[in-house]
Amino acid sequence: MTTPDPTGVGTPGATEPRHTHPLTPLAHAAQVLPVVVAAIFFAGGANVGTRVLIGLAAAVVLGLVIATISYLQWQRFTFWFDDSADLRVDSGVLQHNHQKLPLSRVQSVEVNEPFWARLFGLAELIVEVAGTGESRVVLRFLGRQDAHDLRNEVLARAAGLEASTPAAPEQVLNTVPASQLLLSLLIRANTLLLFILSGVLLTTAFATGGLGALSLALVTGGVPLFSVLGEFLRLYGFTVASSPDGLRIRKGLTTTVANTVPPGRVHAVGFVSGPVWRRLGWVRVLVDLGGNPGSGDRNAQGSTVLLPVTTWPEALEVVQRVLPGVDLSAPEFIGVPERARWRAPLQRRRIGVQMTDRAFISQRGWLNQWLTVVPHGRVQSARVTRGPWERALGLASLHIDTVPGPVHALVPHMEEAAARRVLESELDLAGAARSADGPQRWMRDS
Amino acid sequence: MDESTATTESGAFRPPGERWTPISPKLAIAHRLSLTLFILVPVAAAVVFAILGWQLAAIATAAATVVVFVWAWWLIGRRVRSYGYAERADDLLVVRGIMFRRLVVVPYGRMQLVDLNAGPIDRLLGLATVQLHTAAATTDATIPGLPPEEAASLRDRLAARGEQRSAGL
Repeated sequence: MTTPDPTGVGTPGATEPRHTHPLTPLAHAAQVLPVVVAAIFFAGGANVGTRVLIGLAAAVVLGLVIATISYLQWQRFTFWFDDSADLRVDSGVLQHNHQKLPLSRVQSVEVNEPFWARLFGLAELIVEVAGTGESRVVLRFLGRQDAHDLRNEVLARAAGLEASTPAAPEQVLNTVPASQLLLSLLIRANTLLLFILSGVLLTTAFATGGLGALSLALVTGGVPLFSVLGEFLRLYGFTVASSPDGLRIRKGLTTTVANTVPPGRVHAVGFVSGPVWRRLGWVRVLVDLGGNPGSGDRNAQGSTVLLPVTTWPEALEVVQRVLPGVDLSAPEFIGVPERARWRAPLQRRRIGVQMTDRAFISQRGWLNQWLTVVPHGRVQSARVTRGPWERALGLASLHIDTVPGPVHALVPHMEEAAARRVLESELDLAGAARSADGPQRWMRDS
Repeated sequence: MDESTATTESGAFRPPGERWTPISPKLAIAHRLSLTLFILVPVAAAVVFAILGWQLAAIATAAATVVVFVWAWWLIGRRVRSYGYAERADDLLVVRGIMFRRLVVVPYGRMQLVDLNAGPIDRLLGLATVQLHTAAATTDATIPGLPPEEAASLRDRLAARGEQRSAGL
């Protein structure tokens, strides 16, 4: 899908307009169920019968309203492929809306199964193309199998192949076992500390009979518990597979997500590990993705995780797929001067930078240690900054700017002159990489 | 201290051999105008205290206001002088700040958009701001306080070079 077919050879024919799945209005209406539970729970009056009645009434009214609106929208919502490899969508009840997505510029195709849709065996398909404005179509909802078939069809048409071409073969690179994921989330230093704190609070509460500590323990224990649970549900069953159109990532327990990361969209890779993870040799891999920033809304946070937890050799193997030819084995880093300990006593020894022929590699951090990799051809701009402390010590920090994402390539507290030297060599390398890459048409308009 | 002669700089921010263009000192007028408007609030407070007969509060407020006003007035001058930009063969350099000094380098091939802005006070004084955007949100390359003709020609030069060297994302 990263290789558009400009000649249009083999463009498959147009299709008839299609509706989404007829159960769509019901799946939308089912989302009011939690409201009902809440209504039953919070409705005043001790009488359980009254509460259930109020809850049911609320469910029927709300459900009917949503189902009606959703039905009208469903009726007007059609999609089809035209004969010039575009995906067309007609929608809108009051205001007519027509979308046309050129499939030759597809950026990503994602199949999600939100919890409520899953109950009905439904899934949604999200197609994104390069470009601003209406560059994204959500087909909500389709039958599960239908969604996967359509995904393959979109990818096949994007590559100029026959619509019925079977899905490109994939090779599973890594799966994260549920036990490892759960353990990794529980033993993160901040989670662990909060749990220990809650334990101490509970012990004191029971020892002294004071209830203040008890409510505090509910917060210190409850918040990390919820965040662990949320992350576990989101990243459950994390699978990375390699296929000709990029890396395929599948994840999620209640809501499942399947998306494809074309190698060309990875602008930076970051490896991060906390103190407990390092004992076990574990690491998380995050990426900055180019394309349409901010359009991933609900799954924006999750979609920048390339691997939630894994060992270093496995992490390096997957990263080789998205940044081919990047060598992370060179041991010599340019460090920071001894006097930087007055500014950063704990992380000073860890800070370092090296420039290989392909990438800008830097490391930093004391508790959470980062290793960041930015291919020279992806550098957007560079900065040198100096705060008052650094000024007094003759230090400066070097930042390499990449597209928005969780990875920040930063070398803090370098020797001032060295920061400038590294900056200039990086600019040269980035310039050379840019001219070698040449213009990339399919990304131009994003 | 004049930052453009910058003997204290050890070379990271403005190494010799680059042609740096300062920005218009008129930007200091714009900033001092805002400062004067802003300082009217504590002045009014001091007047109210005096009317209410709270002598000590009035004097303390007035004294603090004068100190802050003089310090900020002086700081604005230094801040404006700390700005500078240099056009090199392949990239644009922007430097600014005293306490928090920063240098931004934007390769022409990475520019996505060049903005030219002028607010009401800017227009009154004949100033404009040029801002460069790349695909990175953190780029932050802004050159304020440019005479409008200089700003327009800078924007056109940058846009032309960007067009020449554009390398996608």
